[in-house]
Amino acid sequence: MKLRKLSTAVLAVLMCFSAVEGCSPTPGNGETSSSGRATIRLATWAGSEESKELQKIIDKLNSKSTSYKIVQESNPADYDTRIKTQLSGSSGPDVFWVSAQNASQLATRGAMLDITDYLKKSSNEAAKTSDYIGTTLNTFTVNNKIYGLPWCEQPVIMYYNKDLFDKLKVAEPTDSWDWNTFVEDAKKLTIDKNGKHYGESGFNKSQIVQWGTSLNGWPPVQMFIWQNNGDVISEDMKNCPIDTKEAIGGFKFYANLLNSPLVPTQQEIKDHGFDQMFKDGQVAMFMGGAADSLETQVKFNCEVSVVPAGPTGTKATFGDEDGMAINANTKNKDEAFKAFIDLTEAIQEWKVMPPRKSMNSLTVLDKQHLNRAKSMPEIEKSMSFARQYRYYDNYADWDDIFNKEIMDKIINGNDTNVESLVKSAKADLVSKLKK
Amino acid sequence: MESVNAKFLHSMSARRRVGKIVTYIVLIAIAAIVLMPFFWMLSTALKQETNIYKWPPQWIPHPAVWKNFINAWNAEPFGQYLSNTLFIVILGLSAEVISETIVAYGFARFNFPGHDVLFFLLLATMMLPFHVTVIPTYIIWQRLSLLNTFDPLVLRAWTAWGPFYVFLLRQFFMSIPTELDEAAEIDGCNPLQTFQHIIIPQMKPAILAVIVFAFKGYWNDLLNPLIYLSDMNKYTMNVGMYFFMGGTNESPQWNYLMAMAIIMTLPVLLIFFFSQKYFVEGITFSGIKG
Repeated sequence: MKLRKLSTAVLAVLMCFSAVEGCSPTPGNGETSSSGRATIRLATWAGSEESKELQKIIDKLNSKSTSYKIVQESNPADYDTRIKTQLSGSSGPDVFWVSAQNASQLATRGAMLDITDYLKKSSNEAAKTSDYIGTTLNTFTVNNKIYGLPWCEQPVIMYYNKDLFDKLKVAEPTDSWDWNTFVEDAKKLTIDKNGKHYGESGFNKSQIVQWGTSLNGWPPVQMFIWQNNGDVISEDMKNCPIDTKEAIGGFKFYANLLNSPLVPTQQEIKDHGFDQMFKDGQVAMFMGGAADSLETQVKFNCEVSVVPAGPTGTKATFGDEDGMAINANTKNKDEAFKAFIDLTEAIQEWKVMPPRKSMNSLTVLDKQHLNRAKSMPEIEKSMSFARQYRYYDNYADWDDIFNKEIMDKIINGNDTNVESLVKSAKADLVSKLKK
Repeated sequence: MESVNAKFLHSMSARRRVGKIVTYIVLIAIAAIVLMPFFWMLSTALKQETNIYKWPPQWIPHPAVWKNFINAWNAEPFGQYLSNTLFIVILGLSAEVISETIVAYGFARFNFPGHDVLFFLLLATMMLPFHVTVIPTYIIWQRLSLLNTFDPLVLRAWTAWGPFYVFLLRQFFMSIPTELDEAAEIDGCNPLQTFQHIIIPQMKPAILAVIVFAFKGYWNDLLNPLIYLSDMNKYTMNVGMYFFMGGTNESPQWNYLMAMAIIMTLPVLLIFFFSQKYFVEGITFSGIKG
């Protein structure tokens, strides 16, 4: 009897608990808290350490501001699904980090606030659109309206193991190196178990212990196509010139390099870790993002340089961008913008590389990133010829076909018959372009 | 004749012994394959960061860094995350078991109009991919102004929202003879009393099976807490451990991630070990496998 009464009581408590536990609303979406300041919720994909560094920046801004208080809501898990679900419910954070891939889609679908007029009125340095380098603002611009600002651009640069270069008497990369010198260097740096390099008589390609470079879909093939004066989407967004002589040349260079002994097999890369192989001294040259700062993480002498130019001397690198935007449904747009622009300025100082001309002087950068001063000139040079993809609303669908029908077959299927791959994918790709 | 019999019996027992040895060898080999990922997880959890990608791989970490467990736990407020997780698991699980048992009882014992259609509709919801319902469900909770609370993760359980569990329980209910209900009715029990005093005590194995399944579901749930809970101090263990996946320029901390994954696995393993007997009975009786 007692047991029955007890279980009934427990059941009642559980029901009450689950009915009332949510009745503790926290201010959000630009709502004003009891302190009189608007609470600005910020969603990011920051990891464990990064979120702590970001919190310090936020604390500084919060202590200065009398009108807003930024609350961080970070988590790297499934960020795209999380943010798209939250925004589609006309709720979500007030300010959020947005990747270059998603910016155009979210802006077109009305999830991001048009900040063009806010930027014109603001006196914050980060609001000066003329200060943004090259095409970095294009990613966040739709129909001449600006929907977000980039806070970091990562041009692909070449990290190289100087100790291995010295040991094998290979000349270090210079500004004039191109595909040919790069491949020649990679050959000299690819060594088998007996110490013979690629091309040397007796070289055993089944016993390679050190590779010249590494590719696994990164860096993107577009970078090599641009270096060869080609493109994958035309400027007017109406065509995919992937079958031009220049584009085919870029694809072929990539496919041949990836399937040569100069690059570890995809299985070896999966087993040992892509950048880890460079960190462990198994790969001599590694193309990574400027912010990866690999030279600060390894025990050997690591230097950086620009990526090699194409056969005609064209310099191009891929510049990945991360940005920030305001939720179009935020309740307090003015305060959200103030928090947004202050935070953009602060994060631009924090991350490599800031996408702004005024911040790209070596004196400024060296001061902000003391441990990378030696690498800054090469990173700065790379910024000058960095390019982005031509993103648009349905870019993800286009990219999906590009990867499935061409890149997967080159990377995982060892297919080097580029002409036929490109020919069969072209119609599908063109059909996915903006109408 | 006797010696022939003795020889025959001796060879039989020798054959049986060999058979047993072979069976054990096969079982141990299969168990080793099944346990391999868990072993790798433990091995990675105890490695120094620099040894994680070492080639050939280090199966036995040297040195074994037990401190990884403490460092991982302290890197984020996992005490808070654990209390949030337990809150959701205990409330959600209780709600789920209570509501689903009642609904399954209804489907098993009452032949009301539209019974078959309703049951079919309930089962049909199992065919809907989870991702199709994410946004509509999110919008419902938003309209109820219950985002960033634990409600979407707990209150939904009162609607008997797990058709699989309802089906499992209904199958078990149907294996209990209706004569018991009739006897209870003759003794003056109403349907609720019959349910409470006669049927529920017979249902322990099935209910325990549902508890084990549902516990695993709540404990391992990532996407729901991720989209419904915004405040970082409301995160669950599962969401919290994803911090170790890295960020913009932060590499994943695999040793910490694996350390937390081991901690997350332990309660599920313990619950399964302790309730194994009933769990298997519950599954077998209801005719559902896996």
